[in-house]
Amino acid sequence: MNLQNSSLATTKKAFKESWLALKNNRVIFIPFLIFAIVDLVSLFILFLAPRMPLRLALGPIIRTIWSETFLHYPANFILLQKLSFLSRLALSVLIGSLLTGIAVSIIQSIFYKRPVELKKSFLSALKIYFSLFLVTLIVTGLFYFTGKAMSFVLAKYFSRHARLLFIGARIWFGPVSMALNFLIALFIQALFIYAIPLLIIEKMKFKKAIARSFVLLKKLFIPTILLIGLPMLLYIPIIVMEYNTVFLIEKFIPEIILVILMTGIIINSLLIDPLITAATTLLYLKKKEEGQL
Amino acid sequence: MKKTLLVLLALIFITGCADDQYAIERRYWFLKKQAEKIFNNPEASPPRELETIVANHYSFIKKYPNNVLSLRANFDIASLYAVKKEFEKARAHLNSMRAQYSANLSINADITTAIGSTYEIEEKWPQALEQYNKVIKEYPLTPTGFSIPVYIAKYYERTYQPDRAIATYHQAIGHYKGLIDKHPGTPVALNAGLMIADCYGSLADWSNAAKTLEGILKDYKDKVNLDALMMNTALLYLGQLKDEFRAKELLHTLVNDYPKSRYSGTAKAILKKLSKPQE
Repeated sequence: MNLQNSSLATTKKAFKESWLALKNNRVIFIPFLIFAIVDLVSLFILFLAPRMPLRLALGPIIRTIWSETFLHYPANFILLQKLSFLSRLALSVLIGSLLTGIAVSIIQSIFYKRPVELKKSFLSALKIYFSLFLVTLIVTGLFYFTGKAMSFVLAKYFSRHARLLFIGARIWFGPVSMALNFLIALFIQALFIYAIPLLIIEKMKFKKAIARSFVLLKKLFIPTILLIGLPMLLYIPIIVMEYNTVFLIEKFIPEIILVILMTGIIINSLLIDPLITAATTLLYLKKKEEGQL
Repeated sequence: MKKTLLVLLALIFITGCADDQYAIERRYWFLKKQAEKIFNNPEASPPRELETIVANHYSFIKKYPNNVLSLRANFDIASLYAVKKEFEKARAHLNSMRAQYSANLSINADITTAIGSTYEIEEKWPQALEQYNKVIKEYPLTPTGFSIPVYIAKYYERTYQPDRAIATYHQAIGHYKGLIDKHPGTPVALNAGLMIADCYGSLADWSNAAKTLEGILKDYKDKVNLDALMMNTALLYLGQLKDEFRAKELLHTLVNDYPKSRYSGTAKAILKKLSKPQE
């Protein structure tokens, strides 16, 4: 009970400190803002894929992998959601990894009350870009493939059975899948959340940083899960809406999907990611200074 | 950086504002949404609403006369009039479409069928039948013309006129046999054969249905992909004719000739089940 209370107190303190850090040091938002802009531009390009002249380049790809249907209004919005998701995964690995490294470096400067030098933070992250890239690739890959594996297993099961644990297929592929994907994302992120701070702050080697991240998760399990899970809850309304694309298109206008995806990018990049990155990095630095790690 | 962003924004703006096929599809989608107000509740919608929506359809057709969606918009106008029980207006509009689409047999078949449908909704079956027979006579090879003989038979089934339904199915069979004689060895003959089998199936004359399908399998072997037809024929032998031996033969042929077919897995599963000793 004491351990639980102290974990909750730690979490509360970490949230408070990260909130204050973000409020008083807007410079932390710069890497996340850059990612949000890139993600939004990518979303717009994908949105305009069925239009000339982008159709000339993207049309054959969409036609081959998905079908001609998705190059027409309003079916393109159904595919847009998937394309946006895939694009975000790719951008996270290629650019997001570097930008997260820069953000951690900025937070480190703020924690130690040193002046923030964006160029220095950029160069320190760029130096270890390959390691940052690998960490993000592993996290993204694990998330993507466990999601696919879960869908495959469920589809295979329900091709022969009507119910699983007294619940029908519709519920499993709907709210249950949503909840499971959320938990999978939470645990995968928690496993590797300290890897980037360790690479940037402690200048550890890649394998050592990964292993140490697992150890830190074990030591700071409850605070880490809460520091990642609670901000992620902000994204649930977006997930619910993304699961009901067809209904929303029929009920309102198809362009609402674009609005939902844009809102998702803003919430994710400018609220959830900065909060999680700041909270976990500051928690790590605080615990390190207190000699508890 | 600023310059790149400005160029990108300009490109997005230009692309987004172009009046291309996508933009036309978008306009048509909003037209359909307007029309749905009437389709969903024809009695409750005021007459003025119909006028407005029909006028919007005409504007769309005038702006994009050669677009495929204009053809749909034309049929939508007829449907709107029909659902509001203004059948004469619907037929007048459909007849006015003939001038624009005179060169296209398929569209003309659809126009004539739509005129028949308005009579059918009005419960004037003799006039509807006249139009449908016109389609069969003048446009027999169009997709609509091809399926109308069976449509007429199914009408009699729906309206509980079994004798007429049976007679019409036999008429349809005769019609399709005529098409096979006129166009032997062609896709027309293949499709006509499938329609004949369908008619025999509707008549529950399974042996003739099987005979027809076997004929197609023999005549079109190595000419077209017959995996689906082989599977359907095997299931017919199993389900209706209780001829396990012939069903197994067909399934073995399917598995051997089309190993990568999506029916191959099902065929193997059925063969496995059939090979188990019966208790």
